[in-house]
Amino acid sequence: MNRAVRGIRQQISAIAAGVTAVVIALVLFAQLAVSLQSNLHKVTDQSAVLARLVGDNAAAAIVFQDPAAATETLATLARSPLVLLGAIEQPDGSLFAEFRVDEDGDIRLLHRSDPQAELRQHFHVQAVTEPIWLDGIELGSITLWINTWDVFAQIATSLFLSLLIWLLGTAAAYFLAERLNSRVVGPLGGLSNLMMQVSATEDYSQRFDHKEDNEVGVLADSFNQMLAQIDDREKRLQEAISDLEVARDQAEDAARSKSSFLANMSHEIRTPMNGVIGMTSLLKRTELTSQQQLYFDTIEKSGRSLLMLIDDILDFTKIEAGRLEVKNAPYTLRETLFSVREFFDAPALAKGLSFNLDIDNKLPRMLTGDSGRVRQVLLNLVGNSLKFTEQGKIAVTVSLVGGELQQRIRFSVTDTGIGIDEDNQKIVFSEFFQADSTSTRQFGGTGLGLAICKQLVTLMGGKIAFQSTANVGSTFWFDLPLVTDVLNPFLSLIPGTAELPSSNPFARAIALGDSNEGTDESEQGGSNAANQDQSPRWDARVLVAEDSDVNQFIIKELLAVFGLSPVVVGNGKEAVASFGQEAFDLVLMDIQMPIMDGVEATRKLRAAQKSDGVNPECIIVGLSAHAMAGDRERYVEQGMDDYLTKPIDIDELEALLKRTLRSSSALMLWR
Amino acid sequence: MKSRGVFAVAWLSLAATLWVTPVDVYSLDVEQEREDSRVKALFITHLFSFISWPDGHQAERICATQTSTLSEVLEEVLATKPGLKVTLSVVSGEDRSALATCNIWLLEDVDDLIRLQTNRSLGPVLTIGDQQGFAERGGMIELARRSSRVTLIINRDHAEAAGFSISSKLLRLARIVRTSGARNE
Repeated sequence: MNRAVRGIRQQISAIAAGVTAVVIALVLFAQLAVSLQSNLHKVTDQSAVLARLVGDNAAAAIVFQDPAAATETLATLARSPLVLLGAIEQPDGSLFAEFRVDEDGDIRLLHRSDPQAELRQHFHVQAVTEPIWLDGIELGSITLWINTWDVFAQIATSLFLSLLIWLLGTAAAYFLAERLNSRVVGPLGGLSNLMMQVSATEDYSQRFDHKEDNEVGVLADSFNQMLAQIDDREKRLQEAISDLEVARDQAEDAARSKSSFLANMSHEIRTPMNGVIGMTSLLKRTELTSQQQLYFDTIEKSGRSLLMLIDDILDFTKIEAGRLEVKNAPYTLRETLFSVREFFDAPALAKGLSFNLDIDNKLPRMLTGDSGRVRQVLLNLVGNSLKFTEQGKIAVTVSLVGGELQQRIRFSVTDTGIGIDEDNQKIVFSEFFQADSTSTRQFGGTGLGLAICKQLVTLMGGKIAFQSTANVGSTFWFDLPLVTDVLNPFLSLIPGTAELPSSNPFARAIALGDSNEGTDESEQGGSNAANQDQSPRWDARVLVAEDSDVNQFIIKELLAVFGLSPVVVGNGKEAVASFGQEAFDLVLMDIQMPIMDGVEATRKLRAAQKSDGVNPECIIVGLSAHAMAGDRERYVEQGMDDYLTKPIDIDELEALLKRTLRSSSALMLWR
Repeated sequence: MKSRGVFAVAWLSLAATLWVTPVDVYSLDVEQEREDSRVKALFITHLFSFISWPDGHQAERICATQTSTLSEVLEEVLATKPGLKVTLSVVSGEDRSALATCNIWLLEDVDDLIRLQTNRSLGPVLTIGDQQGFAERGGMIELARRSSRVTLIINRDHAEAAGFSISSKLLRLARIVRTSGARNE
């Protein structure tokens, strides 16, 4: 039984027994006290009567001065078991006659010196004094010393019996209380146990079985009803949870399918795009007619746009999945801004728009953040302005705002385009928003750009907003926390590097494709031969594992630009075999291949390097059209030194070669 | 010489003592008699509490046949106890009319008793005397001297014959004598 019920039982039993004990004790005590008092009164009254009788009989002896006769009269008191001593005193206090009964019952008709003083020492001896009268004259007094021991003995006996009664009464009360408890508290204990059991096991199908027809029974019935309701709700809840779990599993399956689909689609789209972009990169380096050049630029621009579109969709998917992460690395602000300007200079010029970039001189050179995402947001905003502006200008302004303690950097993009009417201003940042129903057809686009921008800015700890008037123009701006590069806050821009147009292939491609005028001479693609002449060359052995024939061709051609003639194999197994037969400085390993994929092949190559010392300094670089978040980290963890995303950009390839072959034994040759 | 002087003084003192002593003894006897009479008088006054007169009579008048120390002391005692309402008169033993007014006779002489007993027309009279053999010779209550105490001797036959009822308490204290002369303790 639980502690609470045991407590109640004990309390009830203790109270019943305690009250009974107290009441019985009080009653018995009162009875004993009354009995003692009554018996003492009775004894003293009897003694008083006896004293008066004896005194009356002794009156003659007193008046006729016969103490012996008086003593004889007193001797009659010996028949009384109560009297221990009788004494007659004269009015002047002198003793006239006295007798004493010894404890053994002998009668001594002796005049003791002071036997009364002896008797006073005993609590059970009381003195009863009565005057002796004769014809209205007080002749003296008679005092009887009576033994009340029997009274006290009787009281003691009564006390003993009372104690027995008290004990029996208390025990009976406790026993009856326990019986009552078993009928009242017992069911409560069972009910309490069931409650705890239900609470512990959460088995609401249990019921409390009882036969009580009192308040306890009502309580048990109410508890059973409550259990039934809880059980019913629990079942419904379990059903709902099961349904929700099914729905969740379905949703997760759908999400996994979606992610898998996107990953596969990204890979499948990028693989052919690799061929398109790769070929355009190679074609740039051949002799073309102006018309062929125009066709080539259009092909490359379209390919790049398609890649951007795919990137947007992937970004949005990552954002929805909460898997988009921003970097936090040092970058040169002006380089990022110039790359944006380069990207749009030519298109703006083509539309007859002026495109200005105004940078606050107070801005630090180096910042910390994700330059790629900053650039992405700016590209989106400026791209929108370019798309919706037919005349006037587009201005990009970068400035410092806020106080010294909370300085922020503000990027503003202002245009004189069609603006946004008030109804649409509230949903500008919503997904799939289009300026109007016809805009898609007129201007194109997925409607994801601003939604992505808002998410990116938020991820970077900033805010994005806009002000727009229909048919007048719009200003979009976003503020980012100003985080300077603490290591190189005052890094000066090196002429010809940061200030120079970016090496971004997009910008370069569009610039090359869209403008034959007004652009930097060095950026124009007029002389592809010149480009070829400027490319570094290496004397190194490269192994390429790639199952796609197109990609094999592209990689071979791209590497040929840098003077490299790779050994090309079709899968990982062949790569492992070749790796053991020849010396290589670099392995470009496709991830997805038949027979043996790139990850497994890499593992075997690393094992060969460690155990057999084969090509111990060889660099392994992964190649894949997989562009999902975390791919690079995953492949590096699996043994690769670096990672290139397909379609392979020739500039990224050049940068990779510079990174990887720099420390190798390969020779870098310059034409 | 000196011892002779002392011896002479001693003899003179002894002689003076012997000369004075008879006077003191006499005084002591008188005093003792009065004390003795006083006790007897008190006894007489207490007797009335233990003796019931026949026909509802009460002790009212004590007649002494002659003046004596006892009668004198008794009169004094009665004077101190007005509640008793008993009077004492000294009458001549020959004055029968005076004697007829008394229901208690205090007789100094046994002969008076014998003479008066011949006349039964005087009604119930309690006879009290202190001469030795008073009760045995026909008196009812004798105040006798026994050792240093005054005791009672009651002739129960005479008293009961005269209609007197004597309390057992009194009888227990007294020495009972019969008319036949046999004593009953």
